Amino acid sequence: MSSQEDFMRELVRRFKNPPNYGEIENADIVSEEADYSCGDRVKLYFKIGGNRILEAKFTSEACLFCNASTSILLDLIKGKTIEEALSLKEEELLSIFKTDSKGPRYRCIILPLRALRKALKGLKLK
Amino acid sequence: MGFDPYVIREDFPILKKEINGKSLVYFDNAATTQKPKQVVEAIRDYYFNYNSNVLRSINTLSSQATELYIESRKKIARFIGAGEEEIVFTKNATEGLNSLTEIIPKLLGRKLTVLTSIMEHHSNLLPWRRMVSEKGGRLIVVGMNEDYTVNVEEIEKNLENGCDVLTIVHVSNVLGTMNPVKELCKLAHKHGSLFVIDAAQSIPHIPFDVSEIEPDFVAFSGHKMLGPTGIGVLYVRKKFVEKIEPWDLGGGMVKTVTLEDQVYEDVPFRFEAGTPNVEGVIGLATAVDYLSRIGVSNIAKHEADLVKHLMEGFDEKIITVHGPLDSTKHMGIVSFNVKGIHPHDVAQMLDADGIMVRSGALCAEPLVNALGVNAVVRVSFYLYNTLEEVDRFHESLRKLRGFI
Ligand SMILES: Cc1ncc(COP(=O)(O)O)c(C=O)c1O
Repeated sequence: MSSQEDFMRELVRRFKNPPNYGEIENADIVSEEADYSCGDRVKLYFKIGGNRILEAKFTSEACLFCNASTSILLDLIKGKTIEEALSLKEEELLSIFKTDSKGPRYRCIILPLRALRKALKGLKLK
Repeated sequence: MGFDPYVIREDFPILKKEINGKSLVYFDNAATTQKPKQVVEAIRDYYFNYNSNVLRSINTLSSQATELYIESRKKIARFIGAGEEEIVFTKNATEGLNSLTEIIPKLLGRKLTVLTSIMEHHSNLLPWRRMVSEKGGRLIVVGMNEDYTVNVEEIEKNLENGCDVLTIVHVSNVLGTMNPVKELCKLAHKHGSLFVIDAAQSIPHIPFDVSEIEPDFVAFSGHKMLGPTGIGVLYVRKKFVEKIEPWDLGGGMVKTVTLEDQVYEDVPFRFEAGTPNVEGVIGLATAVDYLSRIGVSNIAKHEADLVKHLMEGFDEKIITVHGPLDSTKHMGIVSFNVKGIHPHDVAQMLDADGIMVRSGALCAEPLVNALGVNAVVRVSFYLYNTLEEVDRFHESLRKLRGFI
């Protein structure tokens, strides 16, 4: 079995029913982002208190990589300040998937980060 | 000599490549095809022995290059049953279709009502939509029948109400289904409309003859038929060749220029401003030679065998094939979804086994959405694919059961 296949199996095991999946009722921010070239679509829900992300969830119509990446991303930013969340780098997510911006799944992995930035940039300006 | 994909494969060095430790299986031919040695060699020979600017200089090298260029145009025209003055070189099908949104409004001198379908590649939808929003007119998009071809009755109704252009994809790059272009062409002409064919997925795979179909314009790409990238063709029916205005101006397309005026070159050269893609034209002519030698109808038959084998091997409990269940209706192209697994993940699993397919919305998002999904997996064949490769594909797909 190839290592790529092993990695896929591991992803399936952990993210077939991804943690953090679901809606937040009365969310403070909802942000949707889609990648039309591949058809992935994610929707992020945030509860914000002061300058901090209290709770974050997502729904999606997306591939395994995108779902896994979103699930992981939300774990990483929960409890963080808006600034901290915005400072998260693409590379941090990509390295979890053992890939970089040249990898075939780059766009899938990065999609939730785009949604996150879209949601939080406005807040930071306020 | 009978048709033998294993003999053909010897002409395609890339097919010996290994990917992820497995020998390459290339099932993404609707995106672009591989190139035989003959095509690459012809381009090399051109650069090493004939390179110079064509149609311009009075020197031996330039006349030799020009002769190659003119000969190549003849071959390419003959391949689709056209006259050499009826084909204009473009960079791809997309460019040809975009040019039509400049050419036809000028030719007809009015705002256009354009009829197209939900089955189109984005390149036969977006240019027309922009034309209508910039120049006025109307774009009507007709639907699909249960057999996954365009709704001819709906088309006829709209044609009766008065349309200027009917523009339809011949073979769908998502479903592989074939639209009845000859019938559509008759209908369009009967109702005074022009008829345009997006033949990007048909000319490479099935016999295609403009003198039999009689369309007004046809666009296709060289890279999808063993040719190099960057070369395509826009076919213009003879009766319009002298009537349409050049859309790009510059060198190579004029006979004389004064500070006040100019006289354009003869057709089709007046439509090809600037130094042309000589290597592309020579490469495409060589590809056309190759395809003619094998016989496009033999290729179509071979692809039909592959599609049949592919579809028979699908486990319908987990695979949903889009389009007709009858394998003979898929011209070398089959799109499907695997229950519970996203198309990208299916593609990646296949990739791990060296099998290249396409996944996503395939540049035809309205059609893919009409199928009730936002992405699909697509397998698309060509002359060098084998039944054994299809078996390998199924073997790899079976592993996905563990993921569901
Ligand atoms: C049906 C169809 N039309 C048009 C195109 C555009 O071809 P190109 O990208 O070569 O311009 C494609 C290519 O995918 C196609 O499949």
